[in-house]
Amino acid sequence: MKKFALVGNPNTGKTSVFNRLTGLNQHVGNFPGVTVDKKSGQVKLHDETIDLIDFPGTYSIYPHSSDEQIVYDVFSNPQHKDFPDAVLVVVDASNLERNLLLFTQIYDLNIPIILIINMSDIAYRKGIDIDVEGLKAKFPSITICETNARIGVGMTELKTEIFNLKTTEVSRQQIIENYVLAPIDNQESQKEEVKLRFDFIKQLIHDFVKKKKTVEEKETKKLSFWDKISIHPVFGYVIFAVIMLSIFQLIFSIAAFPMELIDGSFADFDSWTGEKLPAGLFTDLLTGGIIPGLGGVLVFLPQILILFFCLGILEETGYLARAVFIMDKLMRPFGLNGKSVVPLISSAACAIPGIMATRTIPNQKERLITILVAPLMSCSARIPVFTLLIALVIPNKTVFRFLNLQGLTLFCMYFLGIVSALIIAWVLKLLIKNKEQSYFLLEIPDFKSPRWANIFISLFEKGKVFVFEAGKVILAISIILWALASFGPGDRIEKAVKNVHFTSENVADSAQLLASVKLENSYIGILGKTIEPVIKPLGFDWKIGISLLTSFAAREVFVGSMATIYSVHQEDNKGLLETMRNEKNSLGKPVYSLATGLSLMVFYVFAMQCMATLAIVKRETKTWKWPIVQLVYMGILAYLSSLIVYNLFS
Amino acid sequence: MQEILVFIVIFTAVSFLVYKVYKQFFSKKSTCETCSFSQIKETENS
Repeated sequence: MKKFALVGNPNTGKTSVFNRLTGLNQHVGNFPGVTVDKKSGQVKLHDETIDLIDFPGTYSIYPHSSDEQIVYDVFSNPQHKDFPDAVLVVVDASNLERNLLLFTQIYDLNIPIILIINMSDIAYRKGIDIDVEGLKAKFPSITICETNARIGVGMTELKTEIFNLKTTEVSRQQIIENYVLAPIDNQESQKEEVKLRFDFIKQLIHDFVKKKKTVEEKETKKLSFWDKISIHPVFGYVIFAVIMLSIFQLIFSIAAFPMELIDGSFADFDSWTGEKLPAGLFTDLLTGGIIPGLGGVLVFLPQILILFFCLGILEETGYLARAVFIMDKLMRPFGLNGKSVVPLISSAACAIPGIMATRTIPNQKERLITILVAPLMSCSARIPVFTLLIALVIPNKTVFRFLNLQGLTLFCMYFLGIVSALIIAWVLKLLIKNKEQSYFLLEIPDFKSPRWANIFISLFEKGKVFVFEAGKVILAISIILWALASFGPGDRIEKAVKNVHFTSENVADSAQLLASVKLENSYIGILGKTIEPVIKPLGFDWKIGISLLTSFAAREVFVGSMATIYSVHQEDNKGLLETMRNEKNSLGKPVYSLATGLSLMVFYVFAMQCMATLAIVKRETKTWKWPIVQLVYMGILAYLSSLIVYNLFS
Repeated sequence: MQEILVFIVIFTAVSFLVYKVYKQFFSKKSTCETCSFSQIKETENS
């Protein structure tokens, strides 16, 4: 199968082109030997198929970060596994001068090229007129296509050109005679080459690009107004806070119905399975371990999808880049490099890409500080934990006339994560001296309407991964928890059950009492009771303790673990939320009081409950020292904060 | 029969988790289970 590469500057609509060409026929892997995600997909036309690899966005073939280096590595080595038969170079029609640098470098490598002049709508709005026919005459050996990938204009023609492209070696007049890539460490010859190329590009722009008077003056003015206000030193932060607050409000108001539906359906299915299947150990495993564990995964899918949908809109419209820009100003006084902003914002989705993104920070001390505080930003794995606990202990009511209290609490948890990351960074700045000055360069794309297909494709991928990847781990842990909760050492459970004395006071709850006695005398009960004294000051009982231990694998495991622990030995399953709401302690008071709920949420804001993040930190810092430091400091912070919160609210 | 099925399921679950822990810390690749972001260890030569 032929292999094509898709390259281009960041913010040229490369992802839109990729999604348009491949649809859902795409997957994410890795380039061999490096830490860069490789997104590839298949382009199909009639019976033919072409493999398309989406390379990281880069301004030049000479790299500034490890992500960009993959482009150099592949294109400088024709023996590389991913060396392409042809290259699709995407350029932004409204910013050709800068975009053509990469094109001229690839052109001189003598690989067959299709030049995709994308975002033609924005160029039109800016009054930019490109003489495409003139360019075709200037570069007769390559194919040039004009597209607007966001709405699909020109994509059919592009697809046809891809399949008509001759992928044999081409001979052409080169821009730089006998061009070979400069060695990666020879920056002088790279600079020389780039200068020569820009001289050529300037002439090209002069000959083929005309700037007319702006066609839609009013619209441009409107855009610049939004631009100004979104990065305004005061209003910028207000807008950012309002947008984030609204997203968290939406998560609770929209997701409540599907969440209850999924929770209730699993409870019904669990009861139905228990009734229909013959009694036995496997039926117990299904009704007490597997079905509640699966329910624990799926019940939080609506919230996760809503969050990523909203973030997708912010990214697609170009707002997220502006949020990063204003956050840079906020973070500098705390010792964080401007370049730390992108890793930290990425960590709000997941700490792993965030920590990987710190590779763009040249100063090692600043990079280390960013790595150490990145997991404090609340990642998507915390959403199931927060939403479960908020639904349990925070009343669903409106405050200040328009704010939903549950949504506001979720916002506060995220805010707490950001504030603590800044404070810890400031403390680390004092401990780790740093004399180097750093800079932050960020390209802010134009505001544009989102391309819904991009958002929904990304949503589909994220949902699939959450259900099938996180789901497998949660399910496996649920099964093991069920086994540990169903069996005990020797005949300890049987003896304990025999010793239960029913009185007139407890006979009404005899089933509940027996279930509780069985659970307490199981392996998991014994383990939980052993660790209970340590976590009791935080308001946690031994069942929460067990879930804290299992969720060290990944935070979202907490929910599946709670679902399993509460359903083992139970005769009727009322759904996780209902069961937890009814859970009483030895004094007959609800286990999940406001104090316990808040204490547990704060614990999850600070605790390093993620095995994958520790593994990445170890790899990035190449030592066990820093992941251990991180685990210890975050653990102490989590314990002390929970202790304070529990005592304040109880 | 049910006991055998339960044994197989538990054995599979334990093996899967052991494999996951190994993969996170000792193999080339580690992945976040929630969002599937993954990382491959750099080769010694690169």
